[in-house]
Amino acid sequence: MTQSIDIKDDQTANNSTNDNFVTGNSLWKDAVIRFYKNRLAMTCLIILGIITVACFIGPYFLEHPFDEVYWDYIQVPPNFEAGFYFGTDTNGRDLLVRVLHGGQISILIGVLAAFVAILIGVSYGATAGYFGGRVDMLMMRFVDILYAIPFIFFVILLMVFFGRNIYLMFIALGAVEWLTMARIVRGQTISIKNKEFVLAAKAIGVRDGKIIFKHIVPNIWGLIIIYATLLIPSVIMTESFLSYLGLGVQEPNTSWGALISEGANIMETSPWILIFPASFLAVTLFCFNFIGDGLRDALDPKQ
Amino acid sequence: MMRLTPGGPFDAERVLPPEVEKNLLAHFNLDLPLHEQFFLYIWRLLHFDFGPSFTVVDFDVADLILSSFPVSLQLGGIAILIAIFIGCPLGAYAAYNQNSVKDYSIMGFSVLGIVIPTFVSAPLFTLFFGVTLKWLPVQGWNDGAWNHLILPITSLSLPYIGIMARIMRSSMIEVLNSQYIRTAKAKGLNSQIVLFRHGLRAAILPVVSYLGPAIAGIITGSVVIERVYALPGLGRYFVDYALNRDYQVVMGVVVFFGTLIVLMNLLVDIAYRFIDPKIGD
Amino acid sequence: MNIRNNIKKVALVSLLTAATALTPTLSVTAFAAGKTLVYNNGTEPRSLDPAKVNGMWELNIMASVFMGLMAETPSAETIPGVATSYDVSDDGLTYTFHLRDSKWSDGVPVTANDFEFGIKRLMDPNTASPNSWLLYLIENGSDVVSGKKAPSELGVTAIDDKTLQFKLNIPAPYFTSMLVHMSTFAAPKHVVEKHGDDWTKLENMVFNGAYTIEKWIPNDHIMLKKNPHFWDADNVKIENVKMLVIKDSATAFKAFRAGELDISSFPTDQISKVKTDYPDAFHSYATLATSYYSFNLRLDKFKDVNVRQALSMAIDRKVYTEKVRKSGIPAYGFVPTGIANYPSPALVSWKDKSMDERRATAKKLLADAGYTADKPLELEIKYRSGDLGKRYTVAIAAMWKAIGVKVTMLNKDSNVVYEDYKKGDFEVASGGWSGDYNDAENFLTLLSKGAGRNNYSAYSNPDYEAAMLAASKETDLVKRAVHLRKAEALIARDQPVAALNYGQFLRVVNPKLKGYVDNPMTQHRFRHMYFAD
Repeated sequence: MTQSIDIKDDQTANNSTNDNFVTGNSLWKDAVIRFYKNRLAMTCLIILGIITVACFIGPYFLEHPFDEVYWDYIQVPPNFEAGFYFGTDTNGRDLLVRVLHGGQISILIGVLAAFVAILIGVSYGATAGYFGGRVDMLMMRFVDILYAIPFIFFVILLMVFFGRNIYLMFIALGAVEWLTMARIVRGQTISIKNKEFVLAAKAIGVRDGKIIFKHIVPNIWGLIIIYATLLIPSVIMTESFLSYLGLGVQEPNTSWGALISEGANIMETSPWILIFPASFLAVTLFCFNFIGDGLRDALDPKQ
Repeated sequence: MMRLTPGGPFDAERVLPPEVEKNLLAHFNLDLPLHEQFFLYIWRLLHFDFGPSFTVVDFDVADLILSSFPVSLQLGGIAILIAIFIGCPLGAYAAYNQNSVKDYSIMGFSVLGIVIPTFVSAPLFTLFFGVTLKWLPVQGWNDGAWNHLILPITSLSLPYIGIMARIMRSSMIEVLNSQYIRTAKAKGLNSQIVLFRHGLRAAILPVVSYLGPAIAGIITGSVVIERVYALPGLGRYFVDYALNRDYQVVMGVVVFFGTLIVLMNLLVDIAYRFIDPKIGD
Repeated sequence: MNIRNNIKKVALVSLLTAATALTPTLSVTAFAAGKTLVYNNGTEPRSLDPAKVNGMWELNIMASVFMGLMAETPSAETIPGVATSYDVSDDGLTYTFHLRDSKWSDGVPVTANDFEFGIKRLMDPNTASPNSWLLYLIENGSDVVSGKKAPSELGVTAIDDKTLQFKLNIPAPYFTSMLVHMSTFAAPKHVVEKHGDDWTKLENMVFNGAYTIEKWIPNDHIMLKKNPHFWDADNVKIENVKMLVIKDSATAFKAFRAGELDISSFPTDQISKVKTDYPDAFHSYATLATSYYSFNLRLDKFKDVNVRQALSMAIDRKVYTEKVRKSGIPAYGFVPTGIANYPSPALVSWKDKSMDERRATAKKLLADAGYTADKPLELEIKYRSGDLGKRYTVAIAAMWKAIGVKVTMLNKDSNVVYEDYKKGDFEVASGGWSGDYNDAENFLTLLSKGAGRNNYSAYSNPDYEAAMLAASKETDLVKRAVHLRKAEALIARDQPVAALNYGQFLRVVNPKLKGYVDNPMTQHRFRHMYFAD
């Protein structure tokens, strides 16, 4: 949550100094008010808050530990008498507590990797697009090369050089997910860099870095937010593949990606093992998307 | 670089005796020092020879790529076309009816398409349309017979439809609220014409940026789709063959994919100029 | 690709959601029953050259299109194939085979020279065959593979066109059963010498088996067609076999249910569903395979036999096979039950004790070894990534947790894991072995020096080596079994590995398909099968 507030803060500060038809702090306030007024976005924010709290605190309040194997309850559907409200997994562990436990890593990685992708992708793409010409050519060919590197070898090499490390997971994911972001931001930058307000800023001698981050980027925030929300699902699912390669979460810890891919393989015999984690993921992603829409609307000063 | 990764192409459950392993490595020149292997590879590459595959020794890497690319191209090409022609209009329509029930339901469906992973949707489709209803075949390529294409293409295009619609909606809203459209509207121009003549052009730009890498990605195959529907596409070479440490095949597909990416992004850059003639240096 | 066609396809796809109206016009590609057998081979062959492959899926192809000196009955008993009979010398070291009149698919006769050529080619270091080690029992075998001797010195000679002689290092009673394996097949000398490595291109290739290969689309399918030149062609009933490469067993099982496949595997999770819904199609039988955990004896913590015994007896094999694996047979010895020439296996002493008793003993053994609740034994299981591997490992870890062991689990992709096992870089490794031939020696040799790096644990015991050596020299099968039993008893005592379960082979087979006979070698030849109407 702190992340989205940061964005707003940043954004409004930018706009308030640059947009000539809006003045003072009212825009930042306006944005907050607009967001509060957006019922769908607010509902989603609340739901997301509940899910997050449940994932991080919930496991402490449940009767079953996330790694305890119950030999008498292997792969059983939801069973209220025994306290397995979501049933158990293929190892006889309580699915409810595992779904919540898995949410910790998945929510964290979704938000953080999206943040890394925004950070790198936006600065890189905007810089390339703004300078254009040879700089743009070189920077974009570099992105193309990175696209072509096989992800598997990249991940395994990371592990060879830096060992197994949970932070490495964020780097590995961020490092691949920023590429498309960079391309989109670059495209938008090219299309607005010849607009009057940018040219005016140039004319009065504003530094290039300042133009990029104070004039260009704020004008494409909407798209950045939307693309970031689209990134989150792919990041969460890619995480389970990282686990496959030995990076990322290891048993008995888990993640939604791991739970869902396991559940998908046995959906015919034990649908609950797929349905519960998948619905948690789906609800979370719905929330992220509609919060994204709300933010976009709130930050759009032209409305 | 790939050779630095642990695990070799001949590491399997059954450990081969050292002398047998040595013969195998020698057969594929894997016993040479790394730099010699590298020069050998570059030398071959200059002659358009990707060398033999380790995992399917009867075929050259080029044969493998050439035989599976048409499959991926057909699947991916159709899927991306569907995504564009369904996703973009949906997104534009949603933007036009921003924050209405229509908007919310379109976005709801789009997000649904995005959040359901293909490895969940694809088996569900085969179960329902293949096993239960027996309308469509469950697996196989069958030389691209149309009934074998429907399910894979549907599962492949769903998330892309969602993504296209989301990007299109957001950029369309921005454009609809921009000053020149407002001015045009104020001048009393027919809103439909405004929407199409000015709006769509500007709004499609981010979609086009996204398309470059997306097309290259989708027409080089999807490993999940190929696995669930047992299709002989290119995607498996990026994952299965990389996991098997078949360096030759992986190098081949990397060169192929790299070329494709550069090509697609060049096309995108050219498209920018068509869409918005003001773009330029 | 035709654009107009594509537009049609696009239109069709968009209609999919409203496809109800279309149902009558859509139909699944029908396979003409009784004509083409559709089989899921699961994995793509590395090559069509029998000298260059060693997988079970490759044997399925090779044994269909080639025939060795010996062949198998529907229940995988060894009977003469291209040979009509053979003589064995009294010391069991010389085998002489007499060949029948038979032809390659281009009409050229198959001779003893082709067999000599094929086997020598396999052992030639330049061929780089992954199978060559299987034939180390032939005189000079290992020296030829390592390049110390020329292939011409290998102990296999064509005395004339119809007579082939082998000289062996040891009197192996299983030698004739190895001759159904692709490593001992003939190579068509006239074709290989003409085309070199390109002899496996389909336009050049010739076969001496029941089928020929018509078509190979990589990662899609291989099409087999009945070979009219096969010597026993009159008894081959199925004309065409389509071998698919569906990797995902869930997809394969769905294809079976949709009628697109005649023989298929299925996910073990669905075993009870298969039993109730497809009782006629369900096949399940014990195979010659053992799954086990190897303790790394290079590490100090596993040097104490008490620790290994404690860990092994704490595993509830019944729960493990029934509830976790949902298949397999609990294993208390290393050699699968029912293997040939080995009537009474040596099992662990605590086999019939209750789990509570075993857990109590295990705790006591650990305490004797110096591990207590304050200072528990800590160990790491390294396993291959994948849902099933994960499930099995979690279960074992929980069983060890119950006797106070602190277990961590580490998964990596399989090539990395196998390289680590090979290098001895692990604490507990998860291994498995399926028999190459029906003999206990094939399993027990795994823990001897001869197994090299396949002996993950690095178990080394002079008594064990002595027992194995005595067995290899013994021609009397009863006495030989006694030596082998002595070796297995040492494993039961020392537990360098904890055997978990023996294999169980699961398949669904079209009930109309006859001639598919369950056998522990899991060998099923298309030439024995036919469709009943």
